[in-house]
This record gives sequence, structure tokens and C-alpha cells, in this order.
Amino acid sequence: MTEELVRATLKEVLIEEFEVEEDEIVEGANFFEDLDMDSLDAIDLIVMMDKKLNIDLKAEDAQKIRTIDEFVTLIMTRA
Amino acid sequence: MRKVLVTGATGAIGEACVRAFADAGYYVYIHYRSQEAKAQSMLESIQNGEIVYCDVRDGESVKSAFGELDLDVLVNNAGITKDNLFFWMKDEEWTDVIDTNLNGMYRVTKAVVEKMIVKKNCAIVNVSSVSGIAGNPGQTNYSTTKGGIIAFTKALALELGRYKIRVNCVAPGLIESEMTESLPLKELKKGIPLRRIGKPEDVSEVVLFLADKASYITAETINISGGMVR
Ligand SMILES: NC(=O)c1ccc[n+]([C@@H]2O[C@H](COP(=O)([O-])OP(=O)(O)OC[C@H]3O[C@@H](n4cnc5c(N)ncnc54)[C@H](OP(=O)(O)O)[C@@H]3O)[C@@H](O)[C@H]2O)c1
Repeated sequence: MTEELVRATLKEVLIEEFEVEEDEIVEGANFFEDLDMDSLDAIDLIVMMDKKLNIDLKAEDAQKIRTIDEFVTLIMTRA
Repeated sequence: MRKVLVTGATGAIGEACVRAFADAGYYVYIHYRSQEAKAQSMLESIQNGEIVYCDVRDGESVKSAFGELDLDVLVNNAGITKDNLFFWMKDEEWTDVIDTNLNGMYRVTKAVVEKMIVKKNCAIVNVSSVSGIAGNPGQTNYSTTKGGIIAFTKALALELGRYKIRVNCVAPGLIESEMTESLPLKELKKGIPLRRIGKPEDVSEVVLFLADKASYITAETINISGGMVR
């Protein structure tokens, strides 16, 4: 799985499911401070990404991620 | 095929729930603790399902029994009473009831909820009691757990709504069962506007409705007491 694919999937999920604006999705964007998400959204995001990319993410991973880059890195280590 | 887990399925209300869900076409996980033979014979009388053992007081037993189940519906029904006036209540009467009814429900829900979050469009129905709404003398322990179940239902419904998981509660009054066998039912009927004791099916049809039909109801408690508690 390429990092490009992960970023593209994440972008699609954020826009379609979490009503995030495309121009808000920039490197380093913080889910909670910049994208207006909360910890329950983070669980949902983890679950959706897990389903789409078929990786081994757990709901508790939601506690480890704060930014888009951290999340992409986490996914790449699991893929 | 939609799948349901009914805990305490060998009790009066549990058994009625198993039948209601089976009749509605569900695959039913029939949970039992001490009554394997009864669970087995219930299984033989329905189309699709299996029996599952665990003691809800034992976290490991709950995890290994339920952790891998892929459910659409969970009915948290297992529960006990150990009645005594508060003045005479023994520590173990207090802790046993809390550990079974409240902690047990926590353990079971915790074991299955992650898979529900992934699945979405699921429902949880918790079996509380009118004792948890109005209180009942001799049942400080039990009323505490049943009131707690109502509060738990509301808080969990708020967390899980976004995953399209509805969480509701039923609060039965006096229902024909082992739990009420030894009570002076004739006397008690006088306090019930509908002038009868409830049947397990009076409860199971509401449980099925909440789980299967009530698509815009969550965080709610439905009182099933023939008007005894308002
Ligand atoms: N009957 C009523 O009038 C009434 C009214 C309001 C609310 N309720 C509630 O309705 C629910 C069902 O009651 P019921 O009348 O059907 O009672 P019941 O006939 O006594 O059945 C209780 C069920 O819970 C199971 N159970 C108890 N302790 C357990 C444990 N540690 N681990 C696993 N399972 C356990 C029992 O299995 P074992 O027999 O093997 O222990 C049995 O299957 C309970 O939550 C009760 O509080 C009942």
C-alpha cells in the first residue's frame, strides 16, 4: 500500500463522512483543533479506514492520533 | 440474517425474547450459565442459533464467550435479586447484585461493542425494572443496579448514536417468573391498573420492537408495568 493511496483514502473519508472542507486537509492538520472532530469521531474514522484499507487498526488507536501525518504514519506501520 | 445475543436466556423473560427474535427470523445466541440442558432444548425448538456459556461476573469468561460475536442486536437481560431490608442487608447481597446486574452488563456490552461500531445499524436493549424508576423497599441493591442501567443506557446512547447504534431500555413491573414466584401476587394485583401480572411475552414484544422496529428511538426507557408505576 502506498502512502499516496492512504492519503487519498483518508481525504475521501474526511470529506464524505466528516464534512471536512477539502482545503482544510493539509499536512499537519490536527483532527481536533483544525478539523473540528472529537474523540468519538476519531474512533469512527479509525473504523472506516480499517474497513476501506483492510488494515489492523483498533479503536484504541484513536487515542494515539492527533494529526493527519501521525495517522498516515500509523497506518503505514500497520499495512 | 440478523444476529442477536440474549443474555440470561434461560430465565422467563430471556426465553420469551429468544422466541420473539427467532420468530422474527433472527439467528439467536442463547446465553446460559447454570442451565445448559434448558438452553439446549430451547435451541432445538428454534430454527437458527447456538448456545453460549458464560458467567457475567467473570470478565475473562465474558470476553472469550462473546468477544468474537458479530451481532446486530444485544439484549442485556441476565440479572438477579437478593432482597433484604437495607438495615439487614449483607455485604455479599449488595455486591453480588451489583456485580451481576450492573458490572455484568458493562462486561458484556464492552465485549461486543467494538464490532458493532464497525458494523453500524445495531441495537442494544437493556432490561431494567420499575424498581430502578420508583425504588422498592427491600431492594436497595437491585434498585441501584436497575436505575444505573437506565442512566447507562442514556449515556451510551449519546456516545453510540453517531455509529447508528441505538441503545434503549425496558423497565418491566411484575412479570410471571421465578423472580416473582414467591410474591403475594393476588394482593399485588390490586395495585396494578390493568389488574394482572405481566407475562414474559409482554416484555419480549417490546424488546423486539425496540431492537428491530424503533428506528428513531434511542436513549429511551419503556415502562412495562400495566400502569403500576407511572
Ligand atoms: N420477573 C420480573 O418480574 C422482572 C421485573 C423487572 C425486571 N426483571 C428483569 O428481567 C431480567 C430477567 O429476569 P427473569 O424474571 O427472566 O429472571 P430469571 O428467570 O431469574 O432469569 C435470570 C437469568 O439470568 C441469568 N443469570 C443470573 N446470574 C447470572 C450470571 N452471573 N451470569 C450469567 N447469567 C446469569 C440466569 O441464569 P442462571 O439461572 O443459570 O443463573 C437466568 O437465565 C432480569 O434482569 C430482571 O432483573 C424481571
